Amino acid sequence: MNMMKENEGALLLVDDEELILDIVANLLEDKVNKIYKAKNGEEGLELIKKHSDIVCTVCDIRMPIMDGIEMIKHVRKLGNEMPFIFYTGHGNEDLMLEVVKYGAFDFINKPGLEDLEEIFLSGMVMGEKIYNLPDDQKENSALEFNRLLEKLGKN
Amino acid sequence: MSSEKAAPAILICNPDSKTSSEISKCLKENNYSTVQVHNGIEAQIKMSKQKFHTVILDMDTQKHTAFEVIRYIKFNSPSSRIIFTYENQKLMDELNSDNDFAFKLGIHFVMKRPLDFKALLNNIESNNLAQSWKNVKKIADVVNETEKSIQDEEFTRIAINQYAHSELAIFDLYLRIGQNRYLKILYKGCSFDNNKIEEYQKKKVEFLYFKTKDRGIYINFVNNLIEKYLDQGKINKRELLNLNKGLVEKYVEEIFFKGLNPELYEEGKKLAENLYRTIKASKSLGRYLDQFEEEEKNGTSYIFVTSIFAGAITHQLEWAGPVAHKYVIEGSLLHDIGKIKLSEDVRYTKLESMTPEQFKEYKEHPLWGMQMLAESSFISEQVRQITYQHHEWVNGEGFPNGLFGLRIFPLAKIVSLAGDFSEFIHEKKVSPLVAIKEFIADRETIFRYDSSCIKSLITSFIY
Ligand SMILES: [Fe+2]
Repeated sequence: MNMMKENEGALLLVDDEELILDIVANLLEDKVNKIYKAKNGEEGLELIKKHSDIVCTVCDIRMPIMDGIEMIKHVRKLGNEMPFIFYTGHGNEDLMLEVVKYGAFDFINKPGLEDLEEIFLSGMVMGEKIYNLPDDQKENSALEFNRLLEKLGKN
Repeated sequence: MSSEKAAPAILICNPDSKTSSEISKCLKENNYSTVQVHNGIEAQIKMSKQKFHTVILDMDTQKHTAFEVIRYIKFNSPSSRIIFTYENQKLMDELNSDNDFAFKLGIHFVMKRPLDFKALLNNIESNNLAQSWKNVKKIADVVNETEKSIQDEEFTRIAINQYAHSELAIFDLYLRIGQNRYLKILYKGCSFDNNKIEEYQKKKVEFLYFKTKDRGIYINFVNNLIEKYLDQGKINKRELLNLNKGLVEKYVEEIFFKGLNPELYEEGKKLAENLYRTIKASKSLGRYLDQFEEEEKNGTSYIFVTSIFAGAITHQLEWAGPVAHKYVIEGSLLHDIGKIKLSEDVRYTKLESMTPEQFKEYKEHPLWGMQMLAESSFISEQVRQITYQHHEWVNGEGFPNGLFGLRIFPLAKIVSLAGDFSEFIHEKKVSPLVAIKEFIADRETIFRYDSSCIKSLITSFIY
């Protein structure tokens, strides 16, 4: 996967632990043009409404004022299908069952932040793609499958 | 990566250096490597740098206390076993007033000091799959074969052409000659006699049998063997796939019938890594799979084929990196684990012949699987979500939640396609190459799956 800073879009980090916000922002700052930070879902939601350059959100599940589930519900109501990456930890299983109904692009397993970079980068790539989806994508795919199948026949 | 692994490492954490060096001496004499520390902080530092098979932790540990160290292990090194030692019986009785002290904390074995070294060693040995086969001692070859009457339930079988062996038999090996009747053809520790096996193959013997209690050892052994072959790059791909297939089968059996524990999960990770390397090493994987004779439909071969296709799809996908790969194969191995909870009549009924009630129950298996995996803290969320969402379709007509394309966890989309395609191969009883053409020909079908995944699946047959 390409290490990129060609990401036009911005990333939103939402976590009530400021330490985590800082650590993650630090880890990712040279991979993305802009990072917004929010301390709970409500702040996050406001930022998304205000800044259309946000294409991907990394979000905690349990937070005061507005938790991750409420936040993603609101974002989806706005018609925004951007990728959400959730932090998860042992003990959050019931919340995870609920939140994935609104679309979870990926997960970061707490307490370790392993795999963060790959997960984040594919989230950004997907986020930027979503805005450029052609309407006739399905037809295009069908044509492409046929082309591939022809090639397969010749093999 | 080298195939000759160092001896398993044991961490000894005991404030008393005399006790700790005694333990260390005993373990070293038995081919283990040891590290000694005398307080909790040192223990955590060592564990952050090295992986330990077992941690022998004393109750009197200070600066971080023994309980803080246990917490650390559970989060950071969950596959390490914990042996908890203590001296003060009164304190222990207080701690253990409910009799479930060890269980609650996830301690594997509790021992009072002064230690019975033989019992200690026994406990470590019996929980060390690798050591069990590496330490097999050569015995004089036994030529005669003895008939035994042993219950069928005690055995597991493996196709004779899939059985992997080393120079010495790593456990007793049998043939089944009737109900609860077995012929012991090889004794643990004897030289492995390949001619004998070939003779049996000529006589159309299809399966070898060994005790189910040895299955974990076999899994570890084959995992190591495959890793060795991959490192050397000497084996032919078909043989390699064959070995992997046998391994997946035994691994899935072990999980389905004995349940998942951290040590077995570690084996699963290694198996996933081996499968991934096998896939990478195999150009035009579809061709190799094509050579597999169609077998009777059984769950384990479905899981193997699904894992291989899921791995092959991921390998071709632009958007999936090495982290995704690891999760996809682990998830493929476990995704149907919830089926254990289905009632027998549902489990053995074909989808199209299910009554509405049966189908309703069947649709619960992703949720049940997810909940089963949630009980184990060492399983990552990605693997759980693959399990939960592996029947979702991008057109929104899947279950349990009927999610649409963008809302489905991307790695679950891979396993969804790989699983349905494997199912299709079995149903149609055709080779994968024929199946892929038929599968794609149906426009309804292709709208169920992510188009980049389908492209990758087809591509995996071409190159
Ligand atoms: Fe399933």
